[in-house]
Order: sequence, then C-alpha cells, then structure tokens
Amino acid sequence: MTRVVTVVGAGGVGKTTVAAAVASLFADDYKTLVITVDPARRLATALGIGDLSGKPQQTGKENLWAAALDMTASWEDVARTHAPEDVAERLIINPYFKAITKRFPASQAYAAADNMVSEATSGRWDVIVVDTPPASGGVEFFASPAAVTDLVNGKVISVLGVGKQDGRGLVGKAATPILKLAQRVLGSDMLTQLAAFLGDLKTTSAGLSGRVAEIEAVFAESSLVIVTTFDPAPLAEALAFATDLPGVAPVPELLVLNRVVPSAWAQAAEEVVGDGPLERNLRLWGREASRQENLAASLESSLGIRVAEVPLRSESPTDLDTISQLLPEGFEL
Amino acid sequence: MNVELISGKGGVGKSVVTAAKARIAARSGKRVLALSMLPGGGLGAHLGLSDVEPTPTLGVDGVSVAEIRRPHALEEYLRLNSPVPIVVGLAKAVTFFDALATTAPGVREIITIGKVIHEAESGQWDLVVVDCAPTGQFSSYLNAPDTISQLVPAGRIRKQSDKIRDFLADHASITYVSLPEELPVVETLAAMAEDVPCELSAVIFNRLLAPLPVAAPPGDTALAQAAQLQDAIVRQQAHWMAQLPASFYLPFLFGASDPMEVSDLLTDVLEATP
Repeated sequence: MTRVVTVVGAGGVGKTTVAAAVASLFADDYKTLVITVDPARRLATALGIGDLSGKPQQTGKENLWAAALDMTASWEDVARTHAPEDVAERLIINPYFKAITKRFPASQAYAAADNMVSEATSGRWDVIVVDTPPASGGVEFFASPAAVTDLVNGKVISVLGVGKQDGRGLVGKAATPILKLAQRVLGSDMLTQLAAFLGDLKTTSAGLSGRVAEIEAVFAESSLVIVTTFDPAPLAEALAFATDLPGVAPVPELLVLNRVVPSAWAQAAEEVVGDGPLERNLRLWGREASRQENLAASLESSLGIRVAEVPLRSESPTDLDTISQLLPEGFEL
Repeated sequence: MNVELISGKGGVGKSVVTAAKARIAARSGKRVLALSMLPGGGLGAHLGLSDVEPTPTLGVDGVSVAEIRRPHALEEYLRLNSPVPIVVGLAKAVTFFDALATTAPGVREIITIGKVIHEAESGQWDLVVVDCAPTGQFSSYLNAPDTISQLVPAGRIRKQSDKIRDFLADHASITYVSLPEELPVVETLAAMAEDVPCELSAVIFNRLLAPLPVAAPPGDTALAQAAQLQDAIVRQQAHWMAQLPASFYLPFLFGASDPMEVSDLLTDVLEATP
C-alpha cells in the first residue's frame, strides 16, 4: 500500500520546497515520488534534474523521484479513458474543451488529484508526496472531484436538455422561459455549442464517477500537511484549511510554519544596549520574532495540531542536501 | 483613466496597495470606490471595516468599499441585460446562470468585469480602484472578451464583451504589486509579457529591507546573526529587483500585524513618494 502525503497552503509560502523536503526525508528509507505543480526551475535544478516532466524521473538522491503535473495531458486522459473513442477525439479538438480544461476553477486541482491516484495505484511507490496547486490551495484540491462531477452531470446539462435528444441538442427544452432568457442574454449560438459540448462530455460520466470514488478513497487515507508563513493572507488561508476543508479531506496532521525568525532574537533585542544601526536592526527583528512567537502559540492552541518550524533563509535552497536539512531535527510524519 | 486595477501574485499585498491608492485619492477630494473583485479578501480590514458588502459602505478617509459577489452581480447583470422583462423568478434565473457561469468559458469573468465597468460608468465615482484576482487567474478575466470572441461569433454576450474590451483599453490602467523574490518577480514578468488589454500604470515592490549602513560583524551572537540575515536578504532583494523595473517601493514592516496599522503606514509612504 502506497502512503500518500498531500501538502496544502497558499501560493508563495514555500509549499513546493516543503513538499520536496518531506519527500527527501521519506526517501532515506522508502521509494518516494514527489509530484509538484508548476515548480520554479530552480527546484528542478536543486533536485538534480534538468526539467521536470509528467513522467517520474530519478533525482540526485537514490530513492527520490520527481514528476511535474502535465495538466493538458491529464484532461486528455480523462476524455480518452472514459469517453467512446470517436467522442473523445471530438472532445479533445473542441474549443470549449480546451477553454474549460484551462480555466474551469477545479481543473488543475482535479488533474493533480487524478495524477496522484494513477501513481498511488501503480504499485511503484512506497510514498507519494503531492504539492497541491496554489489557486485556492487545499480546499479546491479536495473539492475538485465533486466539482468535476457537477460539471459533467450538472444543472446546466439538465436545463439545456442535454441527453434528452441523443445528447446533442437544445430542442424540446428551448421553450422553457429560463432557456429563452438565457438565449436572449447570451445568444443562442453560445448555448447551442455549449449543449453539444456538454453532451459529449456527459459520455465520460459513468467512467468518471468510478474514478472520483477512487480519488476520494485515496484522499481519505492520505496524510495532510498545511504550510504557511506569518503573512496575513497565507495565515488566513491556513486557518481556513484547518477548519473548512470538505468532508473528503483527512484531518490535518501537521502545520509547517515556514520562514520563522529565531525566537531567541526577541529576548536578545530586549537586552541589547546601545542605539547604533546594528542594535536598531536587532530590535526590528526582535519585534518580528515576538509577533511570530505569539501567532505560533495561538495557532498551535486554537488548531490543536502539531507544529513544525522551518527557519527564515535569505534564499530558497539550491541543492538537495540543503532541502533535506530544512525540516527540524526529529521531524516525524 | 477612472479605473485602476491592482494585480499581482497571491499574498504580495494587493489589498493594502488598493486601500492605500484609494485613500490617497480620497484625501485629495475625489469620490473613490475601492472594489474587491473576489469576495472575502483583506480589503475591508485595510479600510477600517470588519465586513464588506456588495453595496458600498463608507470606510476611512471617505473611501467607499464594496466587493463583487457573483449571485448579486449576476442579478444586476440580468436586470440590466435582459431585453424583455424577466418572466421567470429572478432567483431561479440567477441559480441557473450561476451554474452556467462556472461552466461556459468567459461568462463568469465577463459578469465580474462588467460589474467593475458598471460602477465606473455610474457617475457616482471619480475613481474606482479594484483589488483584483491574483495574476494567475486575472489574465482569464482580462482575456475573457477574447475568449468569448473566439467561441461566439455573434450575439448579445459577444457585444457585451466587445464593449468591455473597448472600455478597458480607454479607461483602465493596471498596477502590479510584487515582492523582490523569485516567484513573484517571475510571475509579474509573465503577466506583463501577456497581451494586456489596458495601459500599464506602475509596478510596486512591497516588503523591502533597507541596507545596513555598516558591515555585518562576523560571529553567532543574535546581534551579528540579525545583521548577517539582513545583509543576505538585501542582496537577494537587489538581485530580483534588477529583473523588474518598478516605480514605487514599500518597506517591510517588522512586527506589524494590525491591518489598519499596516494600511496607515503604507498609505503615508506611498503618498510621500513623488
């Protein structure tokens, strides 16, 4: 059985780096894959590979493999796996398919979840660490299978009457007042094209719902790690993850506080004598250290989950050794 | 120009910059609306309000504050755009259109941007400052008119989207907020390289550290380490700032956590910058 660890958090908190650090730690003992989403090129270099692709590649560390999410390929896979062959080909070249897979809010998140399950059920890995897409972080990731199901089976389909007339038309339903309004506001061209597209997409429904059940089963068994910095926006998101995650998400196991100023500086700042530039500098950092200390304490008590701190560094790590040493001594998951 | 769009990567300080720009304009006597494009952001807290509604509420310095919520904006959109009186219940129509808006490409974005333009054209405001979606998502809003043009050859929504494109080109400018770090700079450069349908107003770097006037001493005392860290970060920040020419710089505020304290300090800095 493959163990799955999902790493969630707002964009810009160092989630990708933390995911790599966690994966690197597991790779000391287990065959581990880290799946990252749109990583900085620097991370690929740090992992010892030129470019991350959709296919897992071995990094500079023996048991550590890495893959990047290839979103277009994932959606094409959904069409090819779950729709009849001719419909799949029609879907893939349909401009709505391209537009929707690119911009449907849950699209990237679903692609990541689908990818995760393919690897988790492949039998190749002891551990998989997933770095989730940043858009709206973890909430979107865990809600994405349901959102995709809604898209494929949703309200729009029933109002547009898709499936009633060989899945291809607006006929019959066109007389309802709501559809007349929609035609007046949006124009009938858009509605007709959309109905045809949704009709094709609906053929994936049966296959997709099996897949969604599979994804949600992997979610339920996974370990959840939340990453945040002390900036207000990521902190608010981290709190939301801890309290408002959809039912399919597991209970968070660990909160990683990234970019922590040494707490000893708060005390040192109070004791320092003199008013030169170095003393003033230490007092500024001391203020920041005590703000962080207070926040960390209130987070730990209000969330009731374990906290691990990663110290502030002037730049993100550029080699595997540094990444491996990011997590504090005795880190356990 | 009476619409200022503020965008940038998530977490760089878009809301506080939106608040500061709105406050500066309001202090000079303008009628200003600060509008949050996505509900539930931090804009209200930076303007002295604990809650922001879809209808304008008065915040500090006389700035009016509102946020766009889709059901609300949708209802307004339907009322304004239906050529005939709506015979089905409005609530039912809104529910259907909301489902449609998350499915049909461009529709959700057109409704949101349409609301911004509706406010700007209302005659109530000299300036509308918009706290926009993060750069990653914002391009889908800015490019919604093009998305619609490619998918729909004619019809009402097509006309609407053409109107939005013209309005953005003539009346809106965009300001990017960034941090002097790798990912925000790379993301801002990528956003700027796209074919943005409105004028670029400025790039603002937030959370800058000031160089120390003396050399950082060696050693591992807190005094030395804090100076070494400051030096190292200042060097990194200079490296990333060199990649992206900016017009304004805002300082990192050590130990500040109250949103109004941050808003007051950064408004003063921005107002004092020529």
